[in-house]
Amino acid sequence: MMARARKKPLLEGSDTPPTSTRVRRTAQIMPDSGVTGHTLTIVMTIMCYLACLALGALILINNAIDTWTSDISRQVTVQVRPLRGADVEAEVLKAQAILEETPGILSVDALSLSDAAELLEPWLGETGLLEELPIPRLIEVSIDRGAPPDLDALSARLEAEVLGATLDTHRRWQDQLVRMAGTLRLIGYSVLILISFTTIAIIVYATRSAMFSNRHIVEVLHLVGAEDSFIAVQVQRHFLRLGLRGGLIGAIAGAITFTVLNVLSESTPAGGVGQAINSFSSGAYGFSIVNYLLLLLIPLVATLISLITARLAIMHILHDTL
Amino acid sequence: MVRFENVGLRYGQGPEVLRDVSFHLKPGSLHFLTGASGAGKTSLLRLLFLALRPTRGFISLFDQDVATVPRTALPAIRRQIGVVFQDFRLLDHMTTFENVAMPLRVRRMSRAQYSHDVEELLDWVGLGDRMNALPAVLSGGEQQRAAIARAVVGQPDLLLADEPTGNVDPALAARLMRLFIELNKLGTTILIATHDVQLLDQFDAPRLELGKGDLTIHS
Ligand SMILES: Nc1ncnc2c1ncn2[C@@H]1O[C@H](COP(=O)(O)OP(=O)(O)O)[C@@H](O)[C@H]1O
Ligand SMILES: [Mg+2]
Repeated sequence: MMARARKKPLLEGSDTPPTSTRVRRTAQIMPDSGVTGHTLTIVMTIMCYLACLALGALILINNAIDTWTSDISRQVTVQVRPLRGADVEAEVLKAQAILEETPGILSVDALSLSDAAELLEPWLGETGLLEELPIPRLIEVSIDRGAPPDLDALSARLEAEVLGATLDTHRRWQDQLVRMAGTLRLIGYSVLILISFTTIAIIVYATRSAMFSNRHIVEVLHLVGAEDSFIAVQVQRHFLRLGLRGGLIGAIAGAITFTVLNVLSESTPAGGVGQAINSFSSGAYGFSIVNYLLLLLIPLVATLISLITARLAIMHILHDTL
Repeated sequence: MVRFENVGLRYGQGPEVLRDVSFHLKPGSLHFLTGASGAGKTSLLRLLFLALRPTRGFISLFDQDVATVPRTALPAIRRQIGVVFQDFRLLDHMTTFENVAMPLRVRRMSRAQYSHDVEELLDWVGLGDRMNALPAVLSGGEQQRAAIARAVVGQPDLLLADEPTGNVDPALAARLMRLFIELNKLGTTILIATHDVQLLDQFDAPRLELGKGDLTIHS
């Protein structure tokens, strides 16, 4: 190799200062259009929107499960069944007295016979039968969640002292709901995983097609001495933008969806789907702002998936070239 | 600097395009590579700029056996080689300036670092007022000069030019040839492929002549 002044300017005898004003712009080495077109952006946005819905549903389910499994429910019911030879009214009063002297109970509300009849009316119709039927009497009990009573002890005492009394803590219902919610939660996670894998597959395919349609650029880059990582950066920056864009638009659309559902369901009866959705933004089961912030996970994860997948796919393709 | 020993090349299952080609280029030398169209000049150059692997034989570049060089070492070798492609291969979405700056950009130089050199070089090849033009609006001769500028901007040790005067009139051809001779005087090893016999006769340099895949050397 000849020793020569390689680092000297190529041409001698010129000392004009840098004249960058003569040059207009610096184009991207890989033009946008050749890598991530409209269709891909739309597909990515839709995947992110779906992921957002799944994540939102998961948040709701988790919040609901949290509430249902938290040790104490707010409401319990004491049921007094009329037994042969017992005076129901007296037993109800007895139960009421026991409840009222128990610490940790906020209110005790015995349903009158007509209240009970009203509850049963949809099933039995407006018959005069009610007086003759042995309708169980119900006592609604509100519990101080801060200092709850010992429900097991209360139940034992009621059963011992009041004829035909049982304490219904709704635990059985709750357990069933929690089990069902658990299944829904599993479905939610599966959907998220499926969406992720589908997105990865889409990105791999898109990267391959981008590398193929820009192979003349890749070839020139190689021949002027570009390293694989340099070429990868030129391609993957488009996928970074794709993930970020699709993720943000998808997340915003998701947030709007939950807000709209919330407004629409404001008038629906409590305890239904509406309430569950309300809880997302009104924060019945927690802080709403946190839920919306959790949706920001979507653009973050989408960007990471898009970027990392594209990078790996590009390096794999480049490795097979000379 | 460059050594070929019994190099053979075939595309796929086709006939041998190059057969037992052996030669040696000394540092700082200038050679012509001649032969009729289809004789294998471009193929031989592609072996030299590592776009192809030979089917058999031994090639050494900068004292390294090409067959054993790991992939990761290729960029460093390619940066020592400047190539003027027969079909230019300018990127059509980039201006002349950006095309010419490409070899410096892939070296991760910043625009501030390279823009002065690139502008100076463009002035030198007579493209100073075409810097912001896209290749599509350049004439054949202008594209040719842009391609040459891109090949030399990285100050390569070895310059390979494939029919660099193929698209220009004789006057410009002579000017471009003087440019190559100038670079050769600065120390660059040069191999120019051409089938233009008239051009060859104007310059006194050793010739490697390809005929039907065989190489003969005329000093
Ligand atoms: N990519 C290729 N695939 C198959 N055959 C090729 C390819 N490139 C060139 N050839 C063949 O190799 C021979 C030499 O071509 P080339 O090297 O381009 O010659 P020259 O540059 O001297 O005109 C020709 O017969 C051509 O058809
Ligand atoms: Mg050729």
